[in-house]
Amino acid sequence: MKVTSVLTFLLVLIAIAVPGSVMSADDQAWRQRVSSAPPEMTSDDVTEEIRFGREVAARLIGRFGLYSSDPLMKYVNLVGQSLAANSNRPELKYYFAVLNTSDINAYAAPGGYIFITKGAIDKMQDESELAGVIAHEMGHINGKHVVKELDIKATEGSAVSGLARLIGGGTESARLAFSKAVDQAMDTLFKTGYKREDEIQADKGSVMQCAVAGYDPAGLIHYFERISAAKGKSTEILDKTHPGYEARIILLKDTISVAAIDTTSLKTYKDRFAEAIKTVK
Amino acid sequence: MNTLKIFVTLAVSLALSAIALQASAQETFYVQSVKAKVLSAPSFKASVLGEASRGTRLSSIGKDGSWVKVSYYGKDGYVAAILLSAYPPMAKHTMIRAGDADFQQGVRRRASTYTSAAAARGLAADDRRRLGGEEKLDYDGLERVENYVVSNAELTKFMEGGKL
Repeated sequence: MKVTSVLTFLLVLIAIAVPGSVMSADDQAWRQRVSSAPPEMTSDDVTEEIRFGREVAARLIGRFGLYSSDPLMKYVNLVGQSLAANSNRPELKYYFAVLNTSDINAYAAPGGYIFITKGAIDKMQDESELAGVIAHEMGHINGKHVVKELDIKATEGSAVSGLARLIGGGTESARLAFSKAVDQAMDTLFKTGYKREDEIQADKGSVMQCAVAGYDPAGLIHYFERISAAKGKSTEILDKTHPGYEARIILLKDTISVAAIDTTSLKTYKDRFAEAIKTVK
Repeated sequence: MNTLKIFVTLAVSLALSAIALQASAQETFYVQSVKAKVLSAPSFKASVLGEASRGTRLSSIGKDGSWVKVSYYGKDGYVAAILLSAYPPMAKHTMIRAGDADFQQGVRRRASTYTSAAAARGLAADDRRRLGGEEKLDYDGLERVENYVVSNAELTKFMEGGKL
């Protein structure tokens, strides 16, 4: 009887304790992500990231040029800063601009630089679509996808270490390493693309990023559905560097469903978008 | 009897480990966004318990999908996970001013870097062309982007759904 009681007590104890302690793989990944982000990053690392990002951004602008339209610049910045207010990287100042090309694409450079092409904006039909694209790019920056891939840090062990030394003097080998890293970042944007898991993270992240800002996260789905039909030169780079639209749309729908987001309660701002772009269409 | 002792020891160890794990799952998080709504349920349609500003420390008591369950003034609340981090928010980092003498010097130096980098790496002609000149660096354009600001008043009005 005594043995039975002890066993019963222990089994009850285990039954209570174990379920609460077992986290799903998703939960564990999230905890690891939120717990590991800042310790990997010092203030100097952030400065390094911004300096590196400026170089990539200067090349992007150099390649396409800026689309010259004050109203559009203002509008894209308003949408972008609305999303940035909910960024989990408050140490960054985000910048937004439109690139003067008919290519349908968007680009992010480390440190907070986000660019949308004029060709992409021409394909959009409401503000939630623009917000979805910006949120996706913000996901690449906040996930530090290029920074991690190229090991951009201020520490000596980094592949692109001592950029501060490079700016003020530095060795030839340091300059070569830096130049090579910027080349690699450009190759990621125009040739090889981000890692598949990074694209998935950016797509999934865009859903909540849009929703917390009040935007319908399905906007990105509608945009993908439209541009998937626009095959040709304008989507050549986008198609080469990103996973297929079908898989991305399924992922977005699944993410919205799992997060139980009622998209009808969120905004698309179709009229405001139409008002903003009427001078440039 | 020995079997029973082993079983009891294992069971107690397992139970204690599980309890310890559960305790460690209660973590502290900090709000990273300007403001974070604390909702009564993990849904955007749930009632708002309050708003926590950047840097607010919240005790997590669990996770529900994309939401973190937190203790908020004695109530259970939910905050979108993307707005939180396990560490206090860092201060805003300002950009390097383009007028900075060191920076300008660095830009000039890097112009020659591309040619030497290309030669050193034995790049294809196409890549050399790209690095040697076709790949322009537009710092004037970059400065225009970096210097563009929308006022807080405009942004607030815009975020509240105001017209342009």
